[in-house]
Amino acid sequence: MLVEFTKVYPVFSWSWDIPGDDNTEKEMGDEDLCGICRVNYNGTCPSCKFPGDDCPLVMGECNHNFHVHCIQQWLDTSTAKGLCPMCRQPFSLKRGVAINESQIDKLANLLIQSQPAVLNDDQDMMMEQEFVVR
Amino acid sequence: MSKIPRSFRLLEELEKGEKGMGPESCSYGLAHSDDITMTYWNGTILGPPHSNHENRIYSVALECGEEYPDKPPKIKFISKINLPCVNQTTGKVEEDRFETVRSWKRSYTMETLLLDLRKEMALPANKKLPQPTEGTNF
Amino acid sequence: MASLPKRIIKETERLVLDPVPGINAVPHEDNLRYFQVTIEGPQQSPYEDGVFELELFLPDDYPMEAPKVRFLTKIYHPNIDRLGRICLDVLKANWSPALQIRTVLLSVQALLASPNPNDPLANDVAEDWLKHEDEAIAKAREWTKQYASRK
Repeated sequence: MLVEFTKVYPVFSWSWDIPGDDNTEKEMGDEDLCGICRVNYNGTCPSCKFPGDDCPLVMGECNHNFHVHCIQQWLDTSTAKGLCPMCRQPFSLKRGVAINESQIDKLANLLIQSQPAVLNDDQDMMMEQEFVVR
Repeated sequence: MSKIPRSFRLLEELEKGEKGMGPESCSYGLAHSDDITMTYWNGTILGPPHSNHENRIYSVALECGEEYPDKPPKIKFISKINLPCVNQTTGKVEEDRFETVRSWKRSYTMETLLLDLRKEMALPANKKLPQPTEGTNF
Repeated sequence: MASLPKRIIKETERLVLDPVPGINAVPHEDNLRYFQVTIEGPQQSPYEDGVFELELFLPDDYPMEAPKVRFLTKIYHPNIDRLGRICLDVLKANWSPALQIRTVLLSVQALLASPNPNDPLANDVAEDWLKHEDEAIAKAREWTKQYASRK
């Protein structure tokens, strides 16, 4: 039999390359959702129309993932105090993760601004403790 | 912008009034501190300088109804004052003679009203109007 | 009005389909960010026989900013003032966008079970609570009977 292709429609699918995705603990029903906007990782944050490069995903040192726009907006608030919304550890981007590479420069500014405040708090606490000891 | 409900809007105004974050020329607070409906309020207006109101402090009563801030509060002067927009028998601010109430917008607050009443007092046509004895009430 | 963020729609759906026992939250038809809330007083607390009415509003910046919550029912509690304002860390400095309407309301319910007179909002109530705890608890029961609706 002779088959002749007249037209070809290629279909592609994609998803973010999240390291360790299979082993990380997942809360029931919260799989693959951005902890801030609760939209799927492969979807967009509330301000974007197109998923993918327009609305990238980032991974924290603490293994919590967010749309970069979501986490950036959170870290910009004074309530955030530079902490991850999920575990309240100081938020920083995980090194050596492919999806983070394009974002490290952009988010670094935010992290430098927000982290000294956290350090100062610790220093104050240490000074208070010293005072008590004396 | 979403519409902030009446009570949370009034709580914002209360906090601003309590912390004294507003201008010095007016003040406002709840008439009864346990009024969970936050309907009745007291306000004061400091008379504007270079007018017959200079150094006088005027007390007003405000009533924020169920439809506030979609509808303006009712305002009534407690202290006697001679102003065209104030009813000379009751002290009530007459809606059709006070532009801020007539063209009320949701974004206006009690502070807007108090400051605009102060502007009325300072208008060239109003600032030299003869005023009742200081300290008398309607 | 701007369209409602997906997150708020999802939260609302879940509140209706899978409600938290003892907590009910329904959005107003004309303002989907404004919820009418009821919370049942927790067992073994002075509030146990009452159902309390509250209101909750999701500001424009939600979830970057905490929901605003207030009691509409009069309640005798050291962390709730005469206007129904609530002193609760997760509603202010300890807010996180990982929290939701349901977790916030659960925290409010937990606050009823364990009043904290050392971090008061209603100073006179807290003073009573620290000085004469039995009398304060009796008064809280009395107010529950008088102002809250029955379970």
